[in-house]
Amino acid sequence: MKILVVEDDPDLRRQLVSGLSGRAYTVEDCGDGNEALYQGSEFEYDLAIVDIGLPGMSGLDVIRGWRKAQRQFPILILTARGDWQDKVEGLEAGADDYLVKPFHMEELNARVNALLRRAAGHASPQMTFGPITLDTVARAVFVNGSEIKLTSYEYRTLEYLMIHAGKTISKAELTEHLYHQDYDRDSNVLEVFVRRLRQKLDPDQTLHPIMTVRGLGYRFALEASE
Amino acid sequence: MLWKPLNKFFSGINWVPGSLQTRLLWASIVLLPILIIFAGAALQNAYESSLLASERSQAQLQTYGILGSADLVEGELVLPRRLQEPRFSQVQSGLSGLVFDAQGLLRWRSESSALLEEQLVMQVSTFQPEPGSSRFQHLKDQGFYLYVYPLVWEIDEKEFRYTIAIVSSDATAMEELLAFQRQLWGWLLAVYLLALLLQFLILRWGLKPLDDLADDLSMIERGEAEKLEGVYPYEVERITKNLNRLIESERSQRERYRNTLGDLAHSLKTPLAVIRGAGEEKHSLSSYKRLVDEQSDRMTQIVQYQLSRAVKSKEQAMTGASSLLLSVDRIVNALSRVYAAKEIDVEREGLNHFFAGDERDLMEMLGNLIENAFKYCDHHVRLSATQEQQWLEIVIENDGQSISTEEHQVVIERGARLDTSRPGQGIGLAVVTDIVSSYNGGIEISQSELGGAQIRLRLPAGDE
Repeated sequence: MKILVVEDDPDLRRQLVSGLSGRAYTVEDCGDGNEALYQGSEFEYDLAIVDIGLPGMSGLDVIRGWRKAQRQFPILILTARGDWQDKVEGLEAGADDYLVKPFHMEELNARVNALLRRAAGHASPQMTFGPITLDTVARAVFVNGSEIKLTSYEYRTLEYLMIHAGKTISKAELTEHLYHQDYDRDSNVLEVFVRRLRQKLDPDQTLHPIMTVRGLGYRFALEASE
Repeated sequence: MLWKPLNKFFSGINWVPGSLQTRLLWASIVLLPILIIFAGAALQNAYESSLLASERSQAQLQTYGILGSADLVEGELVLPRRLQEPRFSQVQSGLSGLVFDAQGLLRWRSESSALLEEQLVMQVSTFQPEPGSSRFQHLKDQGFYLYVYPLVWEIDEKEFRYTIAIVSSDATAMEELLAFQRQLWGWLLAVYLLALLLQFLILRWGLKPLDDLADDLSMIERGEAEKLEGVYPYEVERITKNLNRLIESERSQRERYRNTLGDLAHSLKTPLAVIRGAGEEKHSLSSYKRLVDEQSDRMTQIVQYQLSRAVKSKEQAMTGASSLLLSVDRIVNALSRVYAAKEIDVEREGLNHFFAGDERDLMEMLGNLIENAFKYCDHHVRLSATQEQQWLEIVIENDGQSISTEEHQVVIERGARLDTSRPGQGIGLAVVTDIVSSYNGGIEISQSELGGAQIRLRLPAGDE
């Protein structure tokens, strides 16, 4: 899951980036409205966090610009002024949720998680597919109730595939959503992650949770269970 | 209409000066001459026609003079050499009489006609008007008035037709006309200048209150006065009244900001002191972290509370009515995005009313209350309103968990000091209570028939 953080205060931006990266999100950041408008309109993101009070171009205008460019990713706005006129204007501009500064990182994480899940059409923070359970709040994966240790990038890959379970995800899309822009797209590191995931989730090769769709990409193949 | 191109025309010219007085004067300088030229032309016309009429009646009289002296002897018209009118006998008198018969042959001419050009005489002989209709003409090129009178004489059932022509010089009349014109335009010019002068004086006098207003305003600017105190005419008074109200509300707003700032600084000092004190005590890292967390929460709440108090406007006189429906729609639409996952059914009833107060205040109250309803409901939120005379009652209900009666009290306790409240407690309701009481309204919390809390707001109703 790739998140764009737009915040002009360098300290808060650093905190946001490190907080979110620590939870296995791929985070890109910028501190300027015009740049944000460009980034969000040109690249694929799964979510954006936008501070309303930006220099140059206001956060509201950035959001309006993205929505005008048909960008549908969920947007969380950060506002220092807590009055309702502000909140309503932000939501009317196209944001999906708001958070009043100052806030706790846990609160932000909860909102981000909820927005990402909602965008993918999942109501519950836990997703269970047969023996495999993904907990998007704890950022952990369980097979038959016992936790499987995954690296951050392995988790990211699996989460993206599971959230879009049943859909074939191309390598390009995975790369786009999991790595930074400057990532070397030709490397075969993705295949390595998938192979390792298969080994960790399905050491006996009975489940086959991740299917390779030849020439197209990967698909998470298990059926969701209630 | 006409104004648009005119305004456009004037706005395109940058020599049109900015002063109201000069603008009006310029308009008069340009437009008055048009008026005056029209009036002058009309007067001149009227004078000319009256001059013509008098010439005609004089010529008519001369005709009667000739007729009186004429005799018909054996079918022949006979006139004496000299007539009663002496000018007919003087060569340079400018008045001549001519008599033609039905064939246009000259039968008689006065002695004075000796100097008339033969061509003119020939020309006159061709005029043969119908009996009973005379003809009067100004021959400008030749400088004459010509009056032609057809005459029918009946003797022994025989008809004798003659034409009498009076030719009179227009020199005197033209001189008179010229003198009149000179006088007329001279006077009109004087009227023009006088009108401009008068207008200048009227404008000076009429616009003086505006000058006074500007002076008074700069006195306020310099701090020598607190409000506009002069006596102003009715039209300006409406402006000064509003200005005074604005100045007053601005001042009270400033005062409120100052108070808020004072309160804010004061109430922030306590948590700051706690943090500083804790730094000097021996705390473990985790307990120190918890303490800083608590105190920063407390400071956040204080800041938020004081800010929303400062934004809230207390000047109800200046604000109009705010539409309840509009605010509810905006908030519900916005919150529906946030709570999209919850699939909340929002029931709205009778919301088409107006609140006599600031829209920001209304948004603040409704925002906090409706968000609480969204947050605590299961699936159902009901918003309804009724108006009874001067009061608007807004009810916000949800089907979530009910709250106990003690909690009702805590929640709406008026003037509860927030810097003494427990951390983590929301300030939304306290802000609502504060705004409600500033409008002398009321708030009541009870159990809704839907199952959750029911909040009843009583606020002054406004007309659209």
